[in-house]
Amino acid sequence: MRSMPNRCEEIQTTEDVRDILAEAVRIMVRNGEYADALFESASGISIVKDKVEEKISTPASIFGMSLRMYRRGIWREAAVQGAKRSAVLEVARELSSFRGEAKQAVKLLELKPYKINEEYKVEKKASEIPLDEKLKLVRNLFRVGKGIDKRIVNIRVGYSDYVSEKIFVNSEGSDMRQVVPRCRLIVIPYAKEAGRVDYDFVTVGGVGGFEAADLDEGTVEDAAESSIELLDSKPPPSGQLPVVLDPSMAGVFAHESFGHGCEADQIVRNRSYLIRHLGKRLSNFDFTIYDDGTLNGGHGTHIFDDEGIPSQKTMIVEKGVLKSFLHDRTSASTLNTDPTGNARRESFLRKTYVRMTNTYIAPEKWTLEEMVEGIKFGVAAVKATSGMEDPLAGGMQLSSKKGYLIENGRLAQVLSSLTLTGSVLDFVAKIDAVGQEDQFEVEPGFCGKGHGDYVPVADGGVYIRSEAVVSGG
Amino acid sequence: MERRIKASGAKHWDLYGQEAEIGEAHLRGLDIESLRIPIRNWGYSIRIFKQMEKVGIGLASGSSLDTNKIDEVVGLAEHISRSIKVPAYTLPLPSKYSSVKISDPKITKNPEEVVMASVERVRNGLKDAGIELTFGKIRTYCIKTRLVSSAGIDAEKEETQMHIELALKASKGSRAAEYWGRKTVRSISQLHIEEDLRKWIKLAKDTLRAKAPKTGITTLILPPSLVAEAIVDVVGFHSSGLALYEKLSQFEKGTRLAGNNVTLEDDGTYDYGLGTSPFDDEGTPQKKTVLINRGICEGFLFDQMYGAITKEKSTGNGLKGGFSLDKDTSYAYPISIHTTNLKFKEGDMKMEELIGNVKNGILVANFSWLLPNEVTGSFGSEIRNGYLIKKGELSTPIKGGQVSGQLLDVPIKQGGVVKGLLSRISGMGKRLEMAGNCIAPYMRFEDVQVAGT
Repeated sequence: MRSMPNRCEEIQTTEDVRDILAEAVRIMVRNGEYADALFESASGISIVKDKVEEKISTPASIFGMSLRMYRRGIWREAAVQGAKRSAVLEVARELSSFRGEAKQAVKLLELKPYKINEEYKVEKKASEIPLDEKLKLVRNLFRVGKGIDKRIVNIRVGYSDYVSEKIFVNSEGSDMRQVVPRCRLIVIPYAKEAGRVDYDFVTVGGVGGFEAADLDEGTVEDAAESSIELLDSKPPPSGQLPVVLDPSMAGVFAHESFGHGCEADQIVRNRSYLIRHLGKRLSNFDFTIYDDGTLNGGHGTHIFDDEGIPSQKTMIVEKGVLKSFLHDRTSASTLNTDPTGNARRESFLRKTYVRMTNTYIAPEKWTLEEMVEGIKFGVAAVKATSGMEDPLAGGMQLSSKKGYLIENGRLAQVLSSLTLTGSVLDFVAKIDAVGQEDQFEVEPGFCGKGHGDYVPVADGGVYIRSEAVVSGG
Repeated sequence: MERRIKASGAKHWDLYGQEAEIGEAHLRGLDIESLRIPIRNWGYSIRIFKQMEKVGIGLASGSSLDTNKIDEVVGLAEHISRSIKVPAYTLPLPSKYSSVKISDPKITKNPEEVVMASVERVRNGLKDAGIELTFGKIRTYCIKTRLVSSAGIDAEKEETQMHIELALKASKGSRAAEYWGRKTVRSISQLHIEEDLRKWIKLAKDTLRAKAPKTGITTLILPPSLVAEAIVDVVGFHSSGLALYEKLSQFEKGTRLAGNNVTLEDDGTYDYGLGTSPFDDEGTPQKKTVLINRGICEGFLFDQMYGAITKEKSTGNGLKGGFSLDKDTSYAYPISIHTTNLKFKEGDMKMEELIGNVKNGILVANFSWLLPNEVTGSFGSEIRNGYLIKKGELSTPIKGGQVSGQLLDVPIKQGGVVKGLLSRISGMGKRLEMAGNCIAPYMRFEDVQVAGT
């Protein structure tokens, strides 16, 4: 039996936690069709360094339980910090007394139970690496970037590691435990000349140990040089143009503009433009998008989701045909299909929604040179900064920190801050090149649902070529 | 907890404790899909300061009252304070704090009742409106905070927040359009659900017949909510002592940043402001700081550290994160400089004049996500809901197309500047509205780039 951190007078072991969760579930399900309980314990450290200061902090203590009961179409939930038996069971009894019902109740499908007890394997547990070694890594990356050029006036280096343990029990007999660590690095060199300031950035990391925070000095130097290059950047041209997206931008496209429309809670809410397109061809060009909760090292990877469904690799689009949506228990029950392991919550304090994991465009055959050669006048957008979905209207907004003008088949003037918009289906229909295997990369990030409710994700893939409305910003 | 800190031998420290209760309801259609009440959490963070040649600051957080666990957290803070240093720091001394309004007793007394009553108000507002509610989140926060320090500070506060977010879908035949409305306030009295619903429903329905605007340079009118999105992060960064000291700020005292019509202050005492508090997260009293006075840069914002480094005083802007929806877990964040409430001086135009003087322009009610770059000031976003302005009146609804540009003046290498939005404000409304942690009027900007058809 594994010993739990001694945070509570009554809890000592994993078995104690399981017993409390199981008893809470038994109490809740007396009055409900289904009940589950999730215990979460997480800890980590964050280091940020710039030329003035170093900041080290530990993230907000996550140690508590989320209890859920489903009764006649309504999820009744509460969260309890800590794991004190009496407090948890009191809340379970309170939930069990709920008498509400929805006007249109969905009957939850009954699923088979799962028994999993797994810890994600890492080379070096970040929790066992001394703080001084982490500081040394951060300080070294700072020194490397700062020394490139006197125009680099500051560098911000951020390191974070985080390990989360979750134990899940439900009324169907599932009994599951996972330990998932994450580690991440970001370096932002700021360049300044003649009063103008600009920056590029590089980020690595994902699920894994300290080895995931692997950033070689050459990459940091490149980021610093790119920041300097941006000092000479110009705003992009405006209008409908051929575009080449780097893997980070292609990933943001796959995630924001396409993936959110495939989150099936949008389907059941009648809020996705993709409702009518399931099984249909969207593009004459073969492109494939996956959402993969099992991707080795992906920032969005997990062993099971927050409803106890094992993670899986879901093919959303196969060779241009829309194949699948992403489901939690509720949407799967509503649409009479299987959940896909995409029910996730920011922490036990927040609600579960359908969320993506690691979303990417799968490789095909094109080199970057071939894609650029085919463009007389257009842009290449690199270094994604953000994206936004419009699942009802099927619109997209993708923003990149940097770009290049493409003229007569060559990369020319460096551009600053591009925003690409347009109709997702038009963009997809105009995809006419997808990059090859050696370009494949995914970047760590976070995604919100509405405003707030952030979960770790990754997106990426390979270069793609299409057309979009381009402007600055 | 204080005893454990003192027992460790730490001479200079502060202890920040926070207890939160959240209640929330999620709606699908007019049904409650999920009711999450109560969500309770609490935690604390300890900072230990080591006075050396420079100052070591160790921050660690926890949530257990177990003695061993507290000792672990104190030990970690101690270890960190020996590992890292900052150029200078002084703990604030005890001060008199102003009495500010940050709490609604209705929310503190019965948050579940407030949530359920708000759900009913939304339901009633949408009944027979011909609108589908495709996403609804209503959340209340009650947060108690206590800050104690070795310098003698012992300060407490209790605050409330309420957040409402609704996606309203209008349909006609095969066409569908949406307005995503959201609001965060401190008190129920600030939440005008019925009035907001009427506006939001109209926007959703009008967007059914929206077209993309034409490409060109135009006059742009933004409501307070979008002025807040455009301004807060960018001005907040460039007004910070951090940006000033690190020479990343575009602002310089005494230089012109905007027209005479722009006066902007950071006001940490504004009644029911989302950034309002009697004290910042270091214990310094929050106050008003004028940042821009009739277009001229006048002031900057400091926390204790950047105040000490620059030989200025803290302006009460040392905060654990700015305005955010994760306020209940902010106790663990380190201190950095954030705006409290950015408040514009009201303008002199009624809405009729603001719009009436525009021959051709656009009024944007919602962007996809404006998200200006806080360092460069650049922005670009798709229009989600808006209207063309023709001959001084709102006309065809618009959707699609992008507005882009720079918020701040951008220096050109060869000399000169490209003027930013802040320098191109041609009109400001008389009426101020609170939007997030910004209090602003409707504003009109000239010569804005729109990419459309």
